[in-house]
Amino acid sequence: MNQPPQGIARFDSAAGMVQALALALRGRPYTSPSQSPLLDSLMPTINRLPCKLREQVYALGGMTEGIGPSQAARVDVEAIAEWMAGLYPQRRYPAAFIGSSNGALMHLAAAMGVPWLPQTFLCPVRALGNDPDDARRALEQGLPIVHALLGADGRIAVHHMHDPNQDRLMLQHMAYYRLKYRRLPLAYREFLLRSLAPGATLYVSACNRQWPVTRTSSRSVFQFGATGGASESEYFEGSPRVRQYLSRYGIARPRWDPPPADDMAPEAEWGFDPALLDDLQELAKARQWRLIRIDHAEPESLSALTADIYADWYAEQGEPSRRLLVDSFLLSDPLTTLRLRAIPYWSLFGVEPSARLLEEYLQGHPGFDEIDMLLFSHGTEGVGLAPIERWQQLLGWARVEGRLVGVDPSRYPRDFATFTRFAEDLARLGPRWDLPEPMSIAFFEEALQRHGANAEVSLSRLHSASG
Amino acid sequence: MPHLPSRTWIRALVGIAVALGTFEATRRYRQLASAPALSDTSRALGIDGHHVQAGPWRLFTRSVGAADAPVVVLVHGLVISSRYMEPLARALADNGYRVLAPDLPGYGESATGTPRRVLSVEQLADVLDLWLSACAIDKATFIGNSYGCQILTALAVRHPQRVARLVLQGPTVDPAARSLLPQLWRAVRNGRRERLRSSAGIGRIDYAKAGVWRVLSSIRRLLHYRIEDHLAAIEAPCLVVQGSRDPVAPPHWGEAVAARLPKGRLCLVEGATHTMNYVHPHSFAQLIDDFLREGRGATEVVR
Repeated sequence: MNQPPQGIARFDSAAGMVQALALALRGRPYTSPSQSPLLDSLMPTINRLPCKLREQVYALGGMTEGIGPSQAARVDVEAIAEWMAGLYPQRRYPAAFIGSSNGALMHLAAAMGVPWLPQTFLCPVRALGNDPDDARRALEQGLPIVHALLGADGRIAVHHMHDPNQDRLMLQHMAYYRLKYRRLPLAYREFLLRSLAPGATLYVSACNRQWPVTRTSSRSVFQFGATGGASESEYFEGSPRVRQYLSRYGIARPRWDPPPADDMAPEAEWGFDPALLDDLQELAKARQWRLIRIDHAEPESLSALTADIYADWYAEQGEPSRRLLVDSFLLSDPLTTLRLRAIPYWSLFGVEPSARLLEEYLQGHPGFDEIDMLLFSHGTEGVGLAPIERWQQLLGWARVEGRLVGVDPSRYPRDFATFTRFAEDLARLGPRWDLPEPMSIAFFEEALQRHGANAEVSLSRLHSASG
Repeated sequence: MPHLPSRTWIRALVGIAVALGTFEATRRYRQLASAPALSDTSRALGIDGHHVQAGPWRLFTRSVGAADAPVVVLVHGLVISSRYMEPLARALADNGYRVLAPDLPGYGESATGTPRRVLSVEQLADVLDLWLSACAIDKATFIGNSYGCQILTALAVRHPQRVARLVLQGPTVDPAARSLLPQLWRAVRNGRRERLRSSAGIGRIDYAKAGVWRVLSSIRRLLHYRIEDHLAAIEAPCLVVQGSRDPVAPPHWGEAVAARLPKGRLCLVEGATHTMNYVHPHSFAQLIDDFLREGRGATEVVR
């Protein structure tokens, strides 16, 4: 895969998912978020380091993906869009997805053999000596960077994201800025024009998850906390769990003291900014594309739904659903999932709310012979993180065998070698089949509507091919 | 083995390295210069190529699209040939046009007769006039990129009856940088921005076919021709397509060009670079299609 331009982190959801899907469309498995053989070869060694040292190496490794503060004004968001669109094989597609990042959606796109273009990506900026727990200082220090990023391109919104619960390690040396395309970048427009014939379908993935934010300009917000293990009120008002967490990490404060929220905004990582719709509608009209918006309340609203659509699809081909493959954050391999004829289930993070949703799914769908589970390690035992025993307990739903894939339980959630080991372990699973015929648009839409009502997922037509 | 002083060894090794480097560069140069006019990919895309005898000139011409469709003519930029117009030609053909793209004398597959002869902007415009007669085309819509905009400006002034409509994309040369080094620096910056979908490979072929002398002389002619002195005389409706990320012909210069045209309009394409015909051909083709199909306001912004 091409080296990405400066200003996008590959260890993040959007970059990871777009790479995984693009590889699947090229008939290749996704083997590592870094796509760096050198870094991957070092992972087992790094994994053997003592706990604290391992954490530091992880944080410093992440920092190498960040840009310097002085580079913020020169971030080339057009080049980043070009890189993402350019990952896909050049061919005519019957449809494409655009919008919110979503691991379940990657499986639907892979089944249909069509691409997805992310609206949001992570632009980390180096900030040595950051205090992850001082949100007010983070906002203040980030303002010049936010304004530099806003000045770099008038078509983006900047979501300065600060989550000391889940990003504690990375925040020591970096600040997180998520950039959302509010206008269609030219590289995306070109890709869509090149790839979609008149009458094709463009699906907008619109995750409606919002988060309380401090507005810093008409195009920028500061988001304290993020979707995951802790609730919004825990971030803003504290809780016994927050107190315990801070005390566990030796932080001399009972709760966080973030700047007051004065607005609601699309969640930085997952939420959809509807400003992009104007360009999409104009383009769909000009090219006579069907433009269909898929609304979902939460990122994981699509998880059980996708699993159900896959089960129907396999059943139509006479394949019973015997195997469940559970993804975790950006650890996922759509191609191998298809070749194993596994039902994909995407978990947002290794947190208790995600474990609970998976449990609910398994309660409603008992009968998998095998359950294989990936588990993302982000290095922090944050509020709401489900312990390894919880995930192992969920594997007990398998009738024959449940197993962790590429996970060293003794090191979780600091098992950083999992970023390469997941692929090695996936490669050993079998039996495998040839790729099925792509899922048709008609089948996808019918199944989405049938299962969507139970999952707060709806499909609405913004433009018809006929006008 | 004779004992030689170390300095002699170093000289010998440097000499060998230089000789090997020169040999490899020459081999590569010849290989590029002998690249076929049409690649297998071009043929697979339905692009055809043939020579047209236009007065004393034998011009290689690429063509694609239905024979009875409206004709548009693509005019290439500095030294590069119509080879880099293929993506735009294909995209326009998909939109229902018959596309013709000649290699002007001295560039690509069209020779001048003598290796050192380099035609001026006005002479190249006159060649286009001859070429139109040879193709039995009275009047056409012309689309130029960069140096091609200068040639089309000269054509529209010297042979106004030939020009139905004009599209000038990334017109050169910005008077604020009318010298060699700033132009080269701007070209380098543009190359960086186009790194992921670059026409540099095609450029190397055409530069090798043109030769060093013609490259240098062409640059001199590009710098010499003051497009701003001729724009006011263009009668045809004209669309200036300006990329927001074009360092060679920056947005303020595109605005100035459009403002000087009697029937000019500006279309600012956010995100576009200098070689839009190659990097973003489908988006460009859509703009051209809109321009040719319908009239629009005096100034517009397309994002």
